[in-house]
Amino acid sequence: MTSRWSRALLNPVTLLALVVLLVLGVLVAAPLAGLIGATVPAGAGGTGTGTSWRDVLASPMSQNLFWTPLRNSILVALGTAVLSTVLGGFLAWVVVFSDIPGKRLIGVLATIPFALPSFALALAWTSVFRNDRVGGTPGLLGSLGIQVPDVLAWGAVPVTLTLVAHYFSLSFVIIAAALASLGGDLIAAAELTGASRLRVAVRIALPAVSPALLSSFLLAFAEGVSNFASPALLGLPVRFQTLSTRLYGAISTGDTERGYVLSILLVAVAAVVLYLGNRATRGRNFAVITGKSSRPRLVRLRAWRLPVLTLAWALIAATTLLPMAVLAMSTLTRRANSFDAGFTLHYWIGASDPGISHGMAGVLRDAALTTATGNTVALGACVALGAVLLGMLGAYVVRRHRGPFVTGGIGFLSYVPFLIPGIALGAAFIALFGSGAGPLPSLYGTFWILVLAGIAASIPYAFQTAKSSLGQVSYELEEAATLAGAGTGRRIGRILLPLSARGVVGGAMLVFVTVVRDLSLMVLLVTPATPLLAVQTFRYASEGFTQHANAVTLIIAAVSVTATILARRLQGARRPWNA
Amino acid sequence: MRVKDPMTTTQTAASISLEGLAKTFGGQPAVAGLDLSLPPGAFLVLLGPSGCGKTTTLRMIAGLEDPTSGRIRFGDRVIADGGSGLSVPAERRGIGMVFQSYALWPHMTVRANVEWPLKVDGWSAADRRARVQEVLAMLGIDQLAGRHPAQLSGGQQQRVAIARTVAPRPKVLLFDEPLSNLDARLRVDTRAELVQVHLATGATSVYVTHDQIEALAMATHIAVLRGGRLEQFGTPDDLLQRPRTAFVAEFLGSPSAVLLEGEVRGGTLRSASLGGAALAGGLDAPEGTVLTAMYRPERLVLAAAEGEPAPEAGAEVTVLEATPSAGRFVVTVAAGAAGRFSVVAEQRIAVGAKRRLVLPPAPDALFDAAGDRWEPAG
Repeated sequence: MTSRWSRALLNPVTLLALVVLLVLGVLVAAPLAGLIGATVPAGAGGTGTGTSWRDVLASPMSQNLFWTPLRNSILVALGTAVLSTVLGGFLAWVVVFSDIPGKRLIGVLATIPFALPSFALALAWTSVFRNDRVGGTPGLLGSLGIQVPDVLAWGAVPVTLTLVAHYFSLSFVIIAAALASLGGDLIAAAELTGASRLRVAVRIALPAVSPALLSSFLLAFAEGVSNFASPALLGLPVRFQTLSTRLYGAISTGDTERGYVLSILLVAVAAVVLYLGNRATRGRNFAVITGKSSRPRLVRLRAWRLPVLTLAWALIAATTLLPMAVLAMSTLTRRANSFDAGFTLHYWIGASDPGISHGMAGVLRDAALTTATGNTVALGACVALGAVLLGMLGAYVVRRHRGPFVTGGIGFLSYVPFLIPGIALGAAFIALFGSGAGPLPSLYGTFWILVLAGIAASIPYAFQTAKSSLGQVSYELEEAATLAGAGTGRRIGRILLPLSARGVVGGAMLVFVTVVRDLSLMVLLVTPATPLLAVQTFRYASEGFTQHANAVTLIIAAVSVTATILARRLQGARRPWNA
Repeated sequence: MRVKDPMTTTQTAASISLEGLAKTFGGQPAVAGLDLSLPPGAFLVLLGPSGCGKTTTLRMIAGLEDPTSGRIRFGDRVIADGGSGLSVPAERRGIGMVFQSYALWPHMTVRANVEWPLKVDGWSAADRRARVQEVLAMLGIDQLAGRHPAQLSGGQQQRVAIARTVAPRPKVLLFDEPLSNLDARLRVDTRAELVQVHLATGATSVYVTHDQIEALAMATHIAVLRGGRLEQFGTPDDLLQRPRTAFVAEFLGSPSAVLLEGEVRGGTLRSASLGGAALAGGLDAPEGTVLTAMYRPERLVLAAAEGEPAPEAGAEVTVLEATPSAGRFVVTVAAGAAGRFSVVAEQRIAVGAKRRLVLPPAPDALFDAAGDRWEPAG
């Protein structure tokens, strides 16, 4: 038996499995353990004071600290989930089943909002609707002399609407793919019974895509609970707190232990919703997989055509075209969001002028922003490389290793970060690497804590991408190479990598994009020594440098959208609704 | 026939022996104790229904799976031993394998597909070029050398797969149902071609299939597997003439042997489902013993059904199908409770016609209730 064990240990796949498990343990399990440990009293094996759980959950402070933010979070998430699913579902139906002209273009534009940084829409909103309640420059409407009511300018309504503008795009993709995979035959069979269009839609099409509707609802809900940028920009100034802004406030003002407790609670809320969503939809894929896919017969809208067309384009305009136009316009106004003082290119290319914005130069000439850009690109590249490499190794081990413990462990650890909101993951990294624990060095304030957190956050996506890319290479192709005499390295280099390269490179680009536009994960980890573009934008916006914030946001948005489209093309993702 | 030049064998073929070879997957036995030994240069077909363990056996010989217990030898050399955990890596066993899906590397041209294994093996550029040219010409696909697999038909892909496998002159050739993705016509052509490749290379070959016609056409040796166990191992003639079990008798032959069950009454085996017809006489078996009689299909006769039916004239059957085959007809009949079977007739018989089944005086073999060959005691 000893020879068997030593043989197994010398097996390259087993060695690789141990390395991958170790890395995942440090990146995923350890931060979570650190987060929990920091809230457990020192006497019980933790490092905390032991009073923070009671402070947050059951003390005079807890209404302010937890219950009100929780209520706000759930309110916002519920609104986001309902509206995203309804609007995304409507647009998906229009693009897949209706006969309106230009639906192909609608389909492409509808996927763009999700590629935008989520703070872009919040910034665009303030540029239009901001009123003078908290001082600073008012938005476009205010400067035109229109009094914007508080309910539209701040709090639950604008936070929810900007989140919907972002996440309906995700619902659209999920539901459109499900509708397209139904196939025309299923609908045609129902229509041949003589049932009306409405009845077919309600009794056949809707139930058949119910898993997609549910999964879109729960995903949007979870995103709504965990989003940081929108409530931070549109709620925080008027003390409209959600769980994520509350925990940001706690940790950034030194009240770390309570912040950690709030992080754990936020993870619990998001994880439960996402887990339920996964369970509800698992094995309930009704997609009809047949060799012949029949195109759905299009519904003639006739009299409804104009209203539907108008509504669809209005939705696209309000979520993609208008926000970008507003941001672009506002960067050109001499006085933020006001046409009275005329236009200028100063905020893009102007030299430092003490009279404007405390002497900050235009974004393209600002030294601080140049550093932030360099950092952001370097971070994006490091994370993309690291996450994809780890994802590939993990996927390779899962493909080759038979042990249920190893493959299950890798699968689980690679999935867990998906359940953790970015800002809570950031908090966990501070808890673990903030002061160094055991063999782990203190990394707070360094570039490397950003890289590690980025990899941890990206691993679920990177692992799935790598698994599906490798999955497209059949086992026999690899075995044929084995029998040709090729060793593990040669097989990977000459057969597996070339055949999965497109998917993997596309995946790396998407990881790069998520890092470049990320705010919630990095906002707690960034220090003045390691500035990043998105975090810089957030600072500018909070400090009232509207034009600078909007200009940088536009740059990030342009990079995100371009890279996303390129990556999708590289991965050969056919538009799912044209399947 | 496209095989033009016989290839020179530079490596001597190896004998293969399996000793108590077994494999379990998560507690489920897939292969349970195979023993057989194959002379150098033989062509072994592993035959059996799906799930019988034939592909697992092939993959253990290839080194793509490790045996749970038992040994595999090439010549004198043990290449896998489940007991000690020894397993020579697949790439060092000197084998070539043709996969069911062909497993052509889609990002390489035909030439590169054939050449790469030689490169891995360390051949010089000049040798590689000559050898690739030689095998491509042998299989008649030299004009396809610059294409990618996706641009080839199924039959052409099959040839490339064979060329790639034989190019490095393996001592052992393995085939995993290589013809199952081809249409019927191409399958017959390619079958003959594979035999020629086998003869030309001289390599010991192991071939997996569930198609008994393929097995009888190509094999020098056949191993019939069932539920992970070896039912019978021998030459095609052995298996046809002297099936050791009812399973082998029924599985082999086209059409397959007719099996009729009966009970011994006073030394005579009688079939209740055929109206008490006598299947075999003079048996030294206890009263009530259940035996199965096997007949080769050409020995059963379908007589006209007119006249007064006497029990000894044979049971009445209904014709379901009559398929022309090699100048004769394979006639499938329904025989009441005895079920459906096929016999060989000289003339076409109309579908739906009634006939009397006339049995020869003695069956070709008898099997006991467990399906094993039954011989009268003494």
